[in-house]
Amino acid sequence: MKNAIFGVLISLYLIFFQSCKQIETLSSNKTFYLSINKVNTVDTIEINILAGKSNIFYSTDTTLTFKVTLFEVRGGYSELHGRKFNIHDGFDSKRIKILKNGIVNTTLSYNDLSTIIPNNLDSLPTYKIQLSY
Amino acid sequence: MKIFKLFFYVLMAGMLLFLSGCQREEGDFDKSNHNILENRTDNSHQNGFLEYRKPIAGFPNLDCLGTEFWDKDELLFQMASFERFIDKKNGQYNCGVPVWGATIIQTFNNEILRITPIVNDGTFERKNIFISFTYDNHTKYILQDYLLWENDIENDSLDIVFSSKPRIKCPGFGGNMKRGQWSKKDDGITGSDGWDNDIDWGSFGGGGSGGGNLGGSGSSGGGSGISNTRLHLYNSYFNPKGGYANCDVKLTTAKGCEDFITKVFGTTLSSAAKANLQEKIETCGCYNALLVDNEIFNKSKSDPQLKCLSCYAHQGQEFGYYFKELYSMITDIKLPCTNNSAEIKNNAKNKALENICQSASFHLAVYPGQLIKKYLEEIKNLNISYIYPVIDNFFGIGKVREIKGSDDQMDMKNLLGLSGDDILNADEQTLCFKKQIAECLKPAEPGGPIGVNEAEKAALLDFYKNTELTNPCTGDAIDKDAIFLGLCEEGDLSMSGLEAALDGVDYITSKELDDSKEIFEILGITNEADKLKFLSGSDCGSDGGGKCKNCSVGEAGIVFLDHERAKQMLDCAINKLKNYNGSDATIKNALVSSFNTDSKNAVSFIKTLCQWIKFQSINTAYESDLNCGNSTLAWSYPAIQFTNIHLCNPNYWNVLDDQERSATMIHEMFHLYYIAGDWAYIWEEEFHGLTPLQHLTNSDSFSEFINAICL
Repeated sequence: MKNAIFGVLISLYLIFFQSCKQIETLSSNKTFYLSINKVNTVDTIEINILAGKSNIFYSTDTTLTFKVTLFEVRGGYSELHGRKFNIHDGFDSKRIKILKNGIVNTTLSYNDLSTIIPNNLDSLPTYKIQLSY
Repeated sequence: MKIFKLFFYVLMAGMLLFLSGCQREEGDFDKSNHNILENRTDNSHQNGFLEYRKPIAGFPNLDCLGTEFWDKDELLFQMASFERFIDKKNGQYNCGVPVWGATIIQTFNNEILRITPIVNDGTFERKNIFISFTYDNHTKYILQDYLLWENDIENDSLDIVFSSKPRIKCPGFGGNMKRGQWSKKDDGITGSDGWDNDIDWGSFGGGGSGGGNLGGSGSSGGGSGISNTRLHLYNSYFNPKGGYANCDVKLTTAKGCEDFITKVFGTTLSSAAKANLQEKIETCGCYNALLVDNEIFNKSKSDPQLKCLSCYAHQGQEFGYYFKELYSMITDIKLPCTNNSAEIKNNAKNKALENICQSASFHLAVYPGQLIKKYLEEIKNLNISYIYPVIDNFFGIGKVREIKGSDDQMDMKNLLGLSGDDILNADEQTLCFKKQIAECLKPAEPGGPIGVNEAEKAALLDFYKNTELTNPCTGDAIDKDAIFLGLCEEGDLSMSGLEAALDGVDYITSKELDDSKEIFEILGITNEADKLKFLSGSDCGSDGGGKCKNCSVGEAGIVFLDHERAKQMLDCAINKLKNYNGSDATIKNALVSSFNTDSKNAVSFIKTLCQWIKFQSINTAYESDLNCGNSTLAWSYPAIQFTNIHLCNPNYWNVLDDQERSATMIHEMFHLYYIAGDWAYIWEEEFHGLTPLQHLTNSDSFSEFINAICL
């Protein structure tokens, strides 16, 4: 009897945990050219790294173009019965923040950047970002 | 009480009347049926007694020891008197035989014979003789020893009274059989030397015609037999001027004593021994010479102390007996680093005995029993040169396992922390090594010149005494002696020298094992081999894990190398944490960065978890998974340790470099073998806000930490 109960408990345990997975992911490595729409010429615009390894370069000319490279980052999530939770996703996580006059104006993830339709006027796909205010 | 004694006297008187004419014929009773005693109504009860007598004697061919009784009632009465001294567990029946006077133990044809002479005043007429058990400790001790009695003999007191009247003859015996008489079955053969080797001795008490009296003519009538001569041995009880006292001469001369020794001990004396015997007889008497047998006698002849051990009056006899026993029980002489010839060993043995006896103050003892006890107690505390005897069950005292040794052996014990048993159980070669190590590591004498490396020597000595080294794969002890001998020979007496000597040796220290007891308990590691593997992290000949199911050959090869690299990274982290004392900046920063703490307890915990993961990793298997998502690298079932880690194909192989793949494996192992989850990944802002406790259950904290210090 004891063995039977033990067997059932073990089975339940296994059924539960067999459906629970710990999944490791890796975001892609991508470079974005960001053109900031500067409303006022006296405004100062900065882009800082929020999370994950990234490189940021910017031009000082009037176009105010930033070269932002988001490197790959490992992430993961838990999955139970097909439902994801405890997600640490390098695509969805906010990776950079844009500061206007020293104040955070917006934060962007890899996916945020990818959803902006780029212009190809200068042969490079440039993502124009309209600041929220 | 008076009535009891009176009744007893009457019985004894009747018994002596009977015995004075006692005769027997050999083989005239049924030896196989002890119950026969109950069925007899005539004097055949005596034969019944003889049957009872036989088991205690232990001599299968001995028929009679010369004790006979008037009738069944008397016999039963006597038996009842001695009942409490009979060890029925061993089926032994005393029947009152050995209660008379002194007892001598002799050997004959490799058979031990015990002769119990009658207490006699030297005349044919017997006297009432009171033998007190309290007084006659000698007999009691021998009885106790021989019959394996558990009684407290020393405190027992029983007066035995014997009547003076001779008894009547036993029918068919052919002569007077007295108390103390004994005979052995006659095989009808007389030896070439004229001795009846059946040694069918007729009488001790004299008067009987047992035939074949030792040393005598074998004629009837008693008198010239050596039996009376032997009575002289007990001359504190016997009148040497009795009717048969002419035999005294025989044992008070070297020739007589030699004959006696030759016959009784079945040995031939060397010329040196004969010369010594003469001296011995003059100083100690033959009996003492006999008790310390010929072997000891010869070996000790040049040793005045030893020679006189048997010369003590009164107790000397008993002491000689025990001395002989002690000599035979010292079976294990350890003489490290010497040429251990038999002669050297014997000399050491004699020397040891001499020292024992000199120190034992045995002459102060009053009674043999007290003497022996005192003596043994003192043995235990002696310093004896060059000897570690193994003495088992010495007269019921128990094992005397440890006798202290000479200075160099004491160095071995005290300096190297060896027990007496360590030394007793070690072979001489091992002891020789230990002796050399003790000499090498011995601290400078107080007041003497101080060596330059006394502190290092002390540290080495401490390590030697307190640290055992175990091979983690075989579980065998690593020979520290060889390592330390090497250090001594090279003169490199330092801990750094020891570390260098141990470099490349896979070992676990006893301290590590002790320190990990609680961890083993928590982790449920009970198997000794697993404990060693856990601490060492060694694969110990196993394949070490790393197999990949559903992998191509190329993929499997990469996985195997990644797995090996992951194990090396774990080993690296374990070793760095083992040696971490807070001063290494790289480790400190990595600890703070990955765990938000560098406390000692956290370091110990992290190290233990790394050991646990490494321990489990030798069974880790992987599986190629083609059904992962686009960005998925790997996945696992958390805490289900027997499952495989799934590596997503092709991402795992295509997008990560070597180090990253191994770090991913470690990350997954912490999911699989530990309760670590994913609180945050290191690139996330939240990671740096985790508490130490969260970090310690966060898989990425471990993998990133290991990556940071063992890249």
